[in-house]
Amino acid sequence: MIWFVLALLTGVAVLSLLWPLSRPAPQPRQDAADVAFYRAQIAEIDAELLRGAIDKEQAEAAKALAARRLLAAAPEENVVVVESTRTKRIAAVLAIVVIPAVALGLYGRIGRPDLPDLPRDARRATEAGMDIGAAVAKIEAHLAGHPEDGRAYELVAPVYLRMGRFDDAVSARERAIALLGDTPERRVRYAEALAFAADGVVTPEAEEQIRRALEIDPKYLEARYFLGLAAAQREDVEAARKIWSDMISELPADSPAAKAIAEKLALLDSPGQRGPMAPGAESPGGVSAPSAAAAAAVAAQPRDEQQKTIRAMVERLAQRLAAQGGGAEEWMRLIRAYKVLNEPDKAQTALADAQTALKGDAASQAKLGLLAQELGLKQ
Amino acid sequence: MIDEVGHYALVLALALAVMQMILPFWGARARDARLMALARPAALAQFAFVALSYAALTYAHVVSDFSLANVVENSHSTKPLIYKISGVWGNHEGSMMLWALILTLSGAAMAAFSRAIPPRLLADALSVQGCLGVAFLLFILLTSNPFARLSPAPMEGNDLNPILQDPGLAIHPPLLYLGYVGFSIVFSLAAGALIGGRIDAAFARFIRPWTLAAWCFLTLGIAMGSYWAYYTLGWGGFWFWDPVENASLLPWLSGTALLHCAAVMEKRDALKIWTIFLAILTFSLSLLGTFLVRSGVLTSVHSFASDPQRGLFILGILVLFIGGSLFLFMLRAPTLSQGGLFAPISREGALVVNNLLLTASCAAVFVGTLYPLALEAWNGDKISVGAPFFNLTFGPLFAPLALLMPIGQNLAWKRGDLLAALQRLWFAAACGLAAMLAFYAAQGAPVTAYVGAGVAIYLIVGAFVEIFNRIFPAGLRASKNVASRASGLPLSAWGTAIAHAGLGVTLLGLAASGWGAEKIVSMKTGEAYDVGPYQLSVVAMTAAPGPNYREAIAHMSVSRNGAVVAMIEPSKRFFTTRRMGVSQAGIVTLNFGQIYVSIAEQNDNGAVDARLYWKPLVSLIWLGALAMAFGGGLSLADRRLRVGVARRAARISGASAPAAG
Repeated sequence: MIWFVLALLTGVAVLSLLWPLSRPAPQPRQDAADVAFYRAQIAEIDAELLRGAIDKEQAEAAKALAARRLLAAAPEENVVVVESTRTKRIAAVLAIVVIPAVALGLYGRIGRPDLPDLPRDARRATEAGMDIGAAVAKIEAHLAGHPEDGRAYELVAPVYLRMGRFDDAVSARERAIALLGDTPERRVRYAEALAFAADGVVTPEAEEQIRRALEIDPKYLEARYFLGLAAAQREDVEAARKIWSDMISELPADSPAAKAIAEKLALLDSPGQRGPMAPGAESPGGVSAPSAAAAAAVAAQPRDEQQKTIRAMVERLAQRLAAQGGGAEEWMRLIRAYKVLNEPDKAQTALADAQTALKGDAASQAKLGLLAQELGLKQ
Repeated sequence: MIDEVGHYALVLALALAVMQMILPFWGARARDARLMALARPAALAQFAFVALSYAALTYAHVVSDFSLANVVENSHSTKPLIYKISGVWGNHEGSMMLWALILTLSGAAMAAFSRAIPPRLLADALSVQGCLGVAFLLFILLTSNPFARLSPAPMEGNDLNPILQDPGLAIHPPLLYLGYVGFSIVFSLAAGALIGGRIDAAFARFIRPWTLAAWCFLTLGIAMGSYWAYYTLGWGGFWFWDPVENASLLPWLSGTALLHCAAVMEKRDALKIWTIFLAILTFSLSLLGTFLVRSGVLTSVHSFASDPQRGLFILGILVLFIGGSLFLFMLRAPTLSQGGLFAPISREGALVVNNLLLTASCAAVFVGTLYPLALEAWNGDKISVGAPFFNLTFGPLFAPLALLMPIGQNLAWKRGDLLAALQRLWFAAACGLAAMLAFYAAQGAPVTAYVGAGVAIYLIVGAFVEIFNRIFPAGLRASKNVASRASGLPLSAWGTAIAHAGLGVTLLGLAASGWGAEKIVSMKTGEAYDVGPYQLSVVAMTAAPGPNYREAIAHMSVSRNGAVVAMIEPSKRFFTTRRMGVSQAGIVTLNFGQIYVSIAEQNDNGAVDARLYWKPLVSLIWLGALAMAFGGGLSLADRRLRVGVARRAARISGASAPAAG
C-alpha cells in the first residue's frame, strides 16, 4: 500500500514536468513585458495630466523619456525564441530519470517505509487501556489541596514510574514514607524508584534504603533481592550469588519468585550479559512490582536486542546531555551507565565532559569526584 | 503511512528543485521557450510537495505520533491543540520546514503572479530559487530531518519549551519567515537579472510588490517578536540588542533601503547598482540570520538544539549564495548603464543619503553582533556588546535619518530646492518644538525623552506635509477641487505618509520609556504599592491547574486617585514535564501606556517577589510598527505604475507641490 502511494506521488511529480513539455510552447515576445511596462507608464502620465497633478509640458517630457527608454530596452536578439525537439526530448528524459532516481535514491537511504504511524489515540486503544495522564492529573490536583495525604502519594508513585517521570516517583515515595511511616515495603519501593531514576542502577542511596528495610525486617524478600542486584551490578558476583542462593533455599522450589531468581543466578555466570538490570520488571513476583512500560518492553526482548535497546537509551541520554547540557544527576547516570555497560573509556570521557559542563558548580564537582572514586575512574 | 508519505514528499520536492534549477537555466541559455516555461510548473509542484510534507508533519504533531523523534522531543499529548500546531515550528527541524515551506511558497508565488516579467529573467530567477530550494531541502533531509523515526516509540513526549507555549509562537515565526524568506524572491530576481545582464526600470517594477510584501511581514514579525519578548521574559524590556534580534534588524534596515531605492529606480531609472546590491545584501543578511540562529554559534531561546554539522552546512549555503551573487555583481555592475541623472539636492540625492545612513547603521549593528562572536572564535575571549555600543553607533546614524526624512519627502525629483522644502516643513518643525516644550513641562527629565518625543511629533506631522501640499497646492484658503485632488492621490502616497508617521509613533513610544517607573517589591496580599501615577494592590493569590502546567496567580487591582481602573492577573506557571517555570506578566494598557507586573514563586512566608512597572506610551512602539506595515500594505495595494516626473530647470523656483511621486 505505501509503495503504491509513493509510486503515485513520483508519477505526479514527473508528470508535472512532462505535461507542460508535451504542450505547445508559449510564444511570448521577449520584449512584450518591456513594451507593456512603458505603455503603462505613458498611460499613467496621461492619467496624472488629466488629474491635474502635472502640466502638459512636464507630461510631454516624461513621455518622451519613457519612449527613449523603451527603445533602449529592446535589443532585437531577445525577440528570437528557439524551440527544438531535441532539447524537449532531453528534458523529458531528464525528468523521467532524475526525479525518481533522486527521490528513491535518497529516500532509500533515510526513509523507514517499514514503520507504521503510531498516533497516540490509536495506540492507547490497543496498548495501555485507560488514560493515565488524566488520572495522574486528578491525583495531582487532589494532592495540591491535600499535601498531607500519604495514601495518594503511594497511589501515584507507581504510575509516575510507568510514565517515566522517575524524579516525581522518587519524591512521591519519599513523601509517603514521611507521612505514613517506615515499613520495609515502603523503603524498598523508594529504593526501586531511585534505581529507576538512575537508569536501572541500584545507587548507594538506593542501597541505603534497602539496608534500612532489612533493619526492620531482615528476612524481607524483595529487599534481599535488591541487595543481590546491587552486588551483581558492582561485579561482586560472589556476594550476589550468596544472597540469591539463600533466598532460593528459603522459597518453595516451584514458586515463580524462586524461578525468577534462579534465572538471575544463571545470568551471573555469563559475564558481559548482565547489563543494568531493570529492577522492577525482574523483581520476584508476589509483591506488587510495577513494571514500567519501557522496562517491560526491554525485558521481553531477546538478550542482544535488550542490550541494543539499552545502549540506544544510553546513547540518547549522551546526545541530549551533549546538546542541551543537564544536571549533575543526569551526568552521573550516564557515567554509571557506561560503567555498567562495560565501557570504561566512554565512562572516562563522559566524566571529563561532565566536569567541563558543570564547571563552577562546586557541589556537583564534589559529587562527580565521589562517583569517580566509587567507579575507579581517573580524575 | 502518513509520516512516510510526508517524508517522501519532501524528497520529491528536492528532486523537483533540482529540475527547477537545471532546466529553466538551460532553456534561458538555449533560448528555448518550452524549457524556460518549465520553471513555472516545477515551482508550483515543488511547493505542493513541501506543503504536503508539512501537512503530514503537522498531522503527526496533532495526533501525538511519538514514532517521530521530532514529536517526542517537542510535544506532549496534553499540550493544547494550538501549541501542537504551532509547536511544529517551535523546534529546529520544524522551523527549517517552515523556512522551506515559505521558500517554496515564494517560488510558487513568483511563478504564478509574474506574467509581466520577461520569460528569460523569470527563468533565471526561478532557477536561482530552485537552487535555494535544493540547498535548504538537502540541509533539512541530511542534517535536520523532522521525519526521523523512533522504534520502539515512547508513550509520551518531552513537551515543548514552556517559554514557547504562548500565542506569540503562532504569530511571530511565520510572519518573520515570510519577511526573511520573502526577500528570496527579490534576491532571485536580482541574481537572474545579473545573469541575464539586463537591469532597467522595469526590473524595479517587478521587484516592487515582493519587496514591499516581504518588508511588511518582516516589520510585523520583528514587532511581534519584540512584544512577545516584552511580555514573556518578565523584565519589561522590548529590545535587548541580542544577536538574534539584531539578525532580524539587519535585513530590515537593508530591506528598508532597498524599498526606497527600488522606488527611485522604477521612477527615474537611477540608483540601479544600489538596488541590485541591496537586493543581494538583504537576503544575504536573512541567510546570515539563519546561520547565526541555526548553527549553534549563539545560544538563545531561538537556537534550540544544534550541532556543528548543521552549522557547517549552513555556512556552506551562506558562502555559496552570498559569494556567488556578489561575484555576479562584481562581473556585471560595471556594465550597468547609468540611468536618470540628478542633482545632489533632489529626491534621488536624499534617498542616496538615506541608503548611506541605513547601510551604515546596518554595518554598525553587524559589527556589534559579529565582533564578539569573531573574537570568541579567535581567542576564546567572551565580551558582551550591549546597549551602550548600539546607542553610541546606531543612535547617531539614525538621528539624522529621522531629521532628514521629512525633508527628503518634500524635495522634487531630479533637482530640488532645499529652502523650499524647509519652508514647507515649518509647521511640522513648530509642532515638534511645541511638543518638546510641552513634554518638558509635563514630564521633565531625562533629556533624551523630551527631545526624542519632540522629534517624533515632528516626524509624524512631517510625514503628512507632502500630502497636504498636494491636496492644498495654494494653501488652505484655496479649497477648490480639494476632494478630487485627495481622491486622485495614489494609494502609495498615503502609504508612504502613514509608514513614515509610523516610524515617528514608534520613536515616541521609545522616547517615553525615559519617563517610566520601576519597582521591585516583596508583595503581600492586601498591601498597595505606588508605581508612577497608579497604585497596585494584591487582592488575592490563588492556584489553578492548566492542561500541562500548574499556575499560581496574583489577582491585583490597579487604581488611580482611589478609583480602580483595571484588574491584572500576573501568574507563574510550572510545567511538569520540562520541570520549568514561566512567568506570565500581568499587563493592562492605560492611555497607550502599560502597567506591567511580573511575579516570581511564592516565598515560604507567603510573600511574592514581583517587578512592577509603569511604562508610559509604551504600546506606541508596536502600534507604530503596525502603522509602518499598514502603510507598506497600502503601497502594495496600489498597482499603478509610478512615474517620477522631473521639473524643468526654469520652473524650479516657487513653492508649488513636487510632482506626482
